[in-house]
Amino acid sequence: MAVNTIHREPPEQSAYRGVRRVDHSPQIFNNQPARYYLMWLLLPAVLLLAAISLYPFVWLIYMSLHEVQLAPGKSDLWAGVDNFTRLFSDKSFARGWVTLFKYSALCLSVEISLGVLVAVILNNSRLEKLFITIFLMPMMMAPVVAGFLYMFLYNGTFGWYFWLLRSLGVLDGGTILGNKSWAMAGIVATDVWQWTPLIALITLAGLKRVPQEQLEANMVDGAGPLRNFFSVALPNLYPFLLIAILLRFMDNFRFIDTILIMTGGGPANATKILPTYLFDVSFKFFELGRGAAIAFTLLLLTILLGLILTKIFEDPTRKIKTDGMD
Amino acid sequence: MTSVTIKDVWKYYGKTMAVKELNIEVRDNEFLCLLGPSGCGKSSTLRMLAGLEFISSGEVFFGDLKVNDIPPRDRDIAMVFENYALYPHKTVFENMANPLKLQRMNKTDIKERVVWAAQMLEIEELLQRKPVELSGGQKQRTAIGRAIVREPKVFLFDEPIAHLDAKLRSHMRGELKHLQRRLETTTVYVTHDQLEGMTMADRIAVMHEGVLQQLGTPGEIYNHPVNEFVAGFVGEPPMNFLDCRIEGAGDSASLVYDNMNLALGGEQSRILETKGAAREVRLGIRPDDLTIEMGTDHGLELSAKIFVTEPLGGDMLIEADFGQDRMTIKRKIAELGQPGDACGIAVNSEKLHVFDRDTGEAFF
Ligand SMILES: Nc1ncnc2c1ncn2[C@@H]1O[C@H](COP(=O)(O)OP(=O)(O)OP(=O)(O)O)[C@@H](O)[C@H]1O
Ligand SMILES: [Mg+2]
Repeated sequence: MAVNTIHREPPEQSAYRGVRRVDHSPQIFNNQPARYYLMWLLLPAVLLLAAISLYPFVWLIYMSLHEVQLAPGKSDLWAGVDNFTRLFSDKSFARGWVTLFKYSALCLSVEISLGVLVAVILNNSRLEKLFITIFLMPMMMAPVVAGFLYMFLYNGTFGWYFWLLRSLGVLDGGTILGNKSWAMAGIVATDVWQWTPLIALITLAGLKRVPQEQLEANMVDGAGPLRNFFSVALPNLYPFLLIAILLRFMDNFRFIDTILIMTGGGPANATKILPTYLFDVSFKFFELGRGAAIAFTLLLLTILLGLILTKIFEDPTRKIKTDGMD
Repeated sequence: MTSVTIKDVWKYYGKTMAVKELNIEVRDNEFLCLLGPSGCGKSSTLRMLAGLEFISSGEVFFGDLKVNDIPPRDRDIAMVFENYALYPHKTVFENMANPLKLQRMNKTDIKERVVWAAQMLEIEELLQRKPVELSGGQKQRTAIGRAIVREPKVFLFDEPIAHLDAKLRSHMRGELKHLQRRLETTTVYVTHDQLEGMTMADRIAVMHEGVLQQLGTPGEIYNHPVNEFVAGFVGEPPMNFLDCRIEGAGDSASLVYDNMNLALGGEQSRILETKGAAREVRLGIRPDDLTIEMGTDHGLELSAKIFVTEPLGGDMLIEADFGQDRMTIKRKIAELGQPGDACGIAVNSEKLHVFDRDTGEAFF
């Protein structure tokens, strides 16, 4: 900054250089009062936001440490870490985690690979704009509506998908959502249908930013189209994929509308992911303290996984490596 | 290690014509420079050689092999891009190893080749760095390294040193030329900088608006430009042009400008006569082929006034006005005339060029 401004100095001033210090720093640093003024202006909004988001969090921790009483007039009983220690021996809690990971991993892997594939096809298509509009429609739908739509499609009397699977002979007995091994696939398919477009869209934006010259250089170096995609385009897509994965994995950990509508966690707990179990504990058994403890573990793990993912997908070009040759 | 033949090649982008009926033969091991101003179709030509751009019509041969329909990866070429096009997620080593890896060369051989190239380009200490940690010159060396590791049939360079600073550019000119001689690989080098063309190339192809103007050695291009465009594009400072009239005929024609009367040699006069030059022509003369003397009683053909002087250290550029026109003169001696001083200019008539005023074609 200073280097540039020196040239713009009027000649009279440069004669004084070395004698009188001419300050070329940007305005904001000279005008300290301006910054304080801004801070005071922002303060109410910041405080309000902090209160709104902090209050439930503090309340969550309070609940997790108490046996919350629902009857009016009764005060909550201090429980210490009891709510947490009880989780260790809770089989449903452990199974909830396993099911959640299974569900989330299935959704993510199918959505990412399918989304990237769709994005690549769209990127090379003349009808890109039209297809984007069509593809966006599932995303616009409320998850509950998507759930109802798929229940309709899976229905054992008139559902198309049910009919299709039956005709193909892959589904031998029962309905899709009533079958222990098919129910998970059923809800994953719903999630994939609704959210693959989002990933495709994010990836498409990333594909547009892959430098053409790098692709061409790799072609000249001797790479075919597939190789070119995996060794040049994909690494350039990492930051975009990170965003997509973060969004989707956090959603999978939060959204249970579709599952509640479609299976409610059944059959035989086959689709009872942890948040569904949490829902049951808090709002069916009304054990709010224990529910809060479960919620707290869920929150912690979401944050932890988020951090890990960010680390893995960290833009490799930004990493500075200073060691010499091996 | 092959010749490259460009035969009747045209390139259209939709309705825009980028290259028109191009015919060039690049000889085996030759360093050929495609030279021309921005937008003249140099990159388009090079990209057609690389297979990155469809050839609208015409044929390209590597040796006897027609390559029109061969994809870039099977052409056995190496290309250096204007913006280097390094892979940001790979280290310098991995960048340079990429073409070898794609050839499925084994690891020890790859390492040997890369280290060899890195030593040649003096970037061995940088092999573990990522492109973001490199300076412009180092990036450029890496890009060249990636091109030379695998001994391709043809090198294609698209303004590889255009983004470097002046000093590094002049250094890299020498390095690249030396490298090409040492590797003995057919090279097509695109640039808009005539100095690069003149200093590095075995032959230069000057292009303008998609059309090849002249193909020849730097000496031929400089001393015998075929038209006004080539004459004005090559040479620094550029050639002076002056609208003149031909007077006299036969063996003793002369060029007349204002009160200047420049007698032409017998052969020059005959050429003008046989080629049927119009009366009105354009004289072209390089700044080096003018003599200047200060004062009013110089006895030289042109009387002028100094407009400005530009000392270049050893040489001196003098711009002088006479009538409506201005000429640049380059001299060794630093005669320090002041702006406004009177001077006389003499033309070295053996070195002058005469162009048709309408077509721009050179008579000589
Ligand atoms: N992909 C393209 N689509 C349409 N027109 C193009 C395309 N590429 C180049 N052109 C046009 O073709 C002409 C030649 O372009 P080209 O890139 O070959 O020029 P160049 O000589 O390399 O110029 P520069 O020195 O600026 O790189 C220009 O008029 C340009 O606008
Ligand atoms: Mg170009």
